Amino acid sequence: MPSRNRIEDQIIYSKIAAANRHAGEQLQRISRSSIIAEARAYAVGTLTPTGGLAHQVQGQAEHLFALRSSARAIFDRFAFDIEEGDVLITGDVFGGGTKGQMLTMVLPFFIDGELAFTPAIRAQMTDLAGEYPGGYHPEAFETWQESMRITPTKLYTGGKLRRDVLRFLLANSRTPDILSSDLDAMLASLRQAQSSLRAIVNAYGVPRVAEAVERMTTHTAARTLEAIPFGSELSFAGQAAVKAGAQEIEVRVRLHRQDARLFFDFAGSSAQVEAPFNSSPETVKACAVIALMGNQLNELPINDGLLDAYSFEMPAGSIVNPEFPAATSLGFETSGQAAAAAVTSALNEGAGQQEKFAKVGGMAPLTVLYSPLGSREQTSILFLEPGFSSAEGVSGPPSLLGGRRLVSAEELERRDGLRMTGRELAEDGTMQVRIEVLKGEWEATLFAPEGAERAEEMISAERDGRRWQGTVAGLSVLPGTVIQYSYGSGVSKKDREGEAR
Amino acid sequence: MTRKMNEWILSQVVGGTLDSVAEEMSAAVTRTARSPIFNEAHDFTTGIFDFSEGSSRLVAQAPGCTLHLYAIVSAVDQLMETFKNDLHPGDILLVNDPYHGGSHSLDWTIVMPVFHGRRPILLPSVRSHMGDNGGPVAGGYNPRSRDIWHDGLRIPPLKLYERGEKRLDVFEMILGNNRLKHWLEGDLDAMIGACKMAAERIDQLLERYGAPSVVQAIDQRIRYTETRVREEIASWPDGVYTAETYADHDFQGNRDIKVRATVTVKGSDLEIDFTGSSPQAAGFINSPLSNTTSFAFVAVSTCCDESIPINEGYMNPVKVTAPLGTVVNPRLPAPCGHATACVGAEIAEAVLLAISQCAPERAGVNAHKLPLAYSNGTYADGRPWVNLNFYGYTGGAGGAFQTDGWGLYPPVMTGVILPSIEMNELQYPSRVLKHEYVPDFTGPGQYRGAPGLEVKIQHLEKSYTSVMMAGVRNTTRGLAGGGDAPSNLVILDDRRTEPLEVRETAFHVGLEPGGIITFHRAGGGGWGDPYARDPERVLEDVRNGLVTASAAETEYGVVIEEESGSLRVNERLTEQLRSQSNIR
Repeated sequence: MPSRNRIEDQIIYSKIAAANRHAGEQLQRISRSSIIAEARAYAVGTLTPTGGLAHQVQGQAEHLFALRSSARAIFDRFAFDIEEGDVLITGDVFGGGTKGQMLTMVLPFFIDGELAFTPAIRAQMTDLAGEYPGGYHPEAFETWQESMRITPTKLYTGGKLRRDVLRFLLANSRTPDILSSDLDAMLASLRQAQSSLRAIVNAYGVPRVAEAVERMTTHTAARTLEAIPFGSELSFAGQAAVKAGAQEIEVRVRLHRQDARLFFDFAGSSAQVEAPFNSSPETVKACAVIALMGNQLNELPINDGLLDAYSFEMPAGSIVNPEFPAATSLGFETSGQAAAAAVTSALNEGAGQQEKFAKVGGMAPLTVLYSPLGSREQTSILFLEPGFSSAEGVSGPPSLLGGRRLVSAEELERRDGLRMTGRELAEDGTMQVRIEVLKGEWEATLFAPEGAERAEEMISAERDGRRWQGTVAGLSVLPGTVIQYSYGSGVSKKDREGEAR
Repeated sequence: MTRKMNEWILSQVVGGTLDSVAEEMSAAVTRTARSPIFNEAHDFTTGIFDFSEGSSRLVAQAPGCTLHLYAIVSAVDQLMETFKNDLHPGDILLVNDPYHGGSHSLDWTIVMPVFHGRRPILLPSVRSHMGDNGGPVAGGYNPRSRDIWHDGLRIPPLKLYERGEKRLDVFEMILGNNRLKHWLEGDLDAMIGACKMAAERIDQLLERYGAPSVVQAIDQRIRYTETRVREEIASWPDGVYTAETYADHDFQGNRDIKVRATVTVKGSDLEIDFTGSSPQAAGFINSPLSNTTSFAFVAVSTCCDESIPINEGYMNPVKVTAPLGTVVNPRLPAPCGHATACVGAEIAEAVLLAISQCAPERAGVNAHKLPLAYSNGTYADGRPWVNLNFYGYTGGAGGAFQTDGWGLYPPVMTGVILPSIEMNELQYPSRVLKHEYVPDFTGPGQYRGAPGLEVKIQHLEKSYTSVMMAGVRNTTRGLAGGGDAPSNLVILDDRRTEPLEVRETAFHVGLEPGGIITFHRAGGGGWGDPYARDPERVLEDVRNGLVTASAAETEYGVVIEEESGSLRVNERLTEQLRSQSNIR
């Protein structure tokens, strides 16, 4: 291949990547919801005419496989019924999704009547009904309790908004204004991406762009296989367990390499549970690959070359591939983390004494604060994750946390009436956060990180001498309430001693 | 024959035809729907509306679930208002949202506008109680509900068909948000099929008589109904009559929720004002204005001659108002899931209590305070089922002038029938072990309430049951001096632990296979002084085991004695006892 072509491949591919990054930055800047604007709970990607993933950027780990899967679910549904101007959406755990609050929007565009490229955004919505605002449901045993299911649907047909469909979506959200503006922001960002992609295609032509994507995909596949830390003759097994309520969930994995693929076999994992701790296959795939690749993932583009370097065996009806209508809202936080830990365990088994693979996950507490149910036409919802559990071996957040930005103490106080009176990263790597409620009337669900050691002690609330600890649903939070978070450390004692030396 | 006579006959023919179409729609739904709630219990209503100058009018309605009476009108109005600038032949519309003309979100309305001369002219519609509505609980009754989203999926006006083409993606999304997809798909098709069938009949009618004549005939028929209803109201003395009643609780710990109705009779106009009712409740008993209006009409309609055709003319003389933010007209997002039982029952009761002050002999049958319990589980193949345990609510009708309470369901549910026990046992893993009258378990009166019942339903597989009690502390009221009904009671018995007596609510109680739900379903309230009841009728009740000899004496002042193996009234002692009734 002439080097000029290789350089041009990179130029074209970089332009596609820039289009995705630009759309992502735009989404973040114009979104009204803190879950997108601050927590960066979104991914932006470009799909090829055949439904492959050309390139993806993401601020949240669980989108890794799900953006492509969700987009494919849309294309499967509308295979012969897509036209210029259509805007299609889906938000279904059982249609390539991860949890109910996630919504994928795609904006296909056509050149000479042929489907060219499709920009896609997948983002977490602030609320899509369900029993608890925000969708995290500590007691759910089936999907309908967690949120509305949005199966593949057209929001626009041929450029015309289906107002009744939009009204239907908004009616099933406690935050219709925020949902409406987030849908607008997603669509505006997709239009931006579409415009950029159209310019690229106009400059180079669809065949040349497709060729460049194909070559970069092949290149990525090769680099991914190089990065896999063991050869084809080896096979390692690992397992990890989390306690979810009264149930112990075990995730087992066997890794083996065959030809140009790495196989993750999750046979032997626990059966699905009647609780929200099941993980969809897309969640588990993301956790497993991030655990395998660790920081090397940052150096590789996310495209088919990366995603198709792996194969997954996930028994139907298990905790890693639950059958409809299993509940999944806390799957990423529990069995997903266990899947990542199981992969790390397998890698360490294989590495023996030679190398230590760090855990990429970190069990962390979560709080969802909301205005008292039934009290307002538009519910105020605040997802509060004010700190992080340190990654193993370093003092930063773990890879599975994604690109989440820590909440600003000033903004929290000005906007929400919550004063952060302490956020300290201790020498041992633990982080303590203390938040005092200054004003407003809230209800809250406190989620202790199920499965973590001493999980119950990682989150607590106090008011007027009363104390609540661990997972608590529907807690009344009034001025004077203090919520305390205690994040664990991934830094081992040995590492700390080493650092001290 | 005079022109006027011709018009009159035509209005009868057109009206009768539309009634027949509505009834044919009802038969079509019954025979083609999949859910037992449709094909066995008939918990739906079919109707036809006309549409002109931006507003719709109820033209004909098949006997159905009367509590849909006005809610269907509001739902159709909302649909037409929403799509008035975007409506085409072949469109089929759906709505269920309590805040868009609905009652509770389990009741869905389908409308198919029929066009003539490029304008929608008649609107066949079906309103039905669906088996499930997604959301937090199977079956849609969620006693833990605190906002409208806890009640289940909200469907504001939505097109299911556009220009004759099914919007498959919208359909699939609706189905995807329902646990009973295997029922819902067929039930929606049945509702749509009934509307399509009606559209064909309407086209034939319009072709035969021409649209202007049909519209004129409809006008005439509505005027006829209005005239009849006005005649009824005009027969009541003018005045302002006020009554209050209470719902036991709101399922969120607040008790004695007040419904106050002020009924003003002025000539042939009737105003019903619910000012003074409690603020909207925290729990799911709030009644949207359309539901409140519907229950007010239920009360009024039971006071009128049953031969009056049900159409818009029924509503024209009556004006219903309710302050926003109250339990009878809540603000979004107050939950409304239980509104068609509680406070619906209290709304009808307050209106009847008020009317009974001015027209006691016309005051209709008061009833509806249900011991509601629904169960859910899964069939052997994994499909879920929801059983509304309809047998547990049968009865409960109050007495009225010159008639004892009768029938299986009270007037608010007139079209709902008792499902066949055999079919029930085929459709669910359930058995009805007992369904029997209980003596002395109804409101006494010159005309007593329907006898109360004891019902035992056994679920053969693992199941979950939620119970929502009403009529326990504030029982169904008697009218015109009749006694109030006794208290309802439900007992859950999994046959392993101590049976659970439910007097307010129970949520998602697991029952092992063989678990039994026992309903003590109280009878209705009585009408008139029990001491004025014909002693022979009391004797007949004693013979039939509906009243014990002891209660005959204490409640009715009738002394029954046995002579030569048969029962008879001791007239002397009865007269003596009743003469003391003045002292009572």
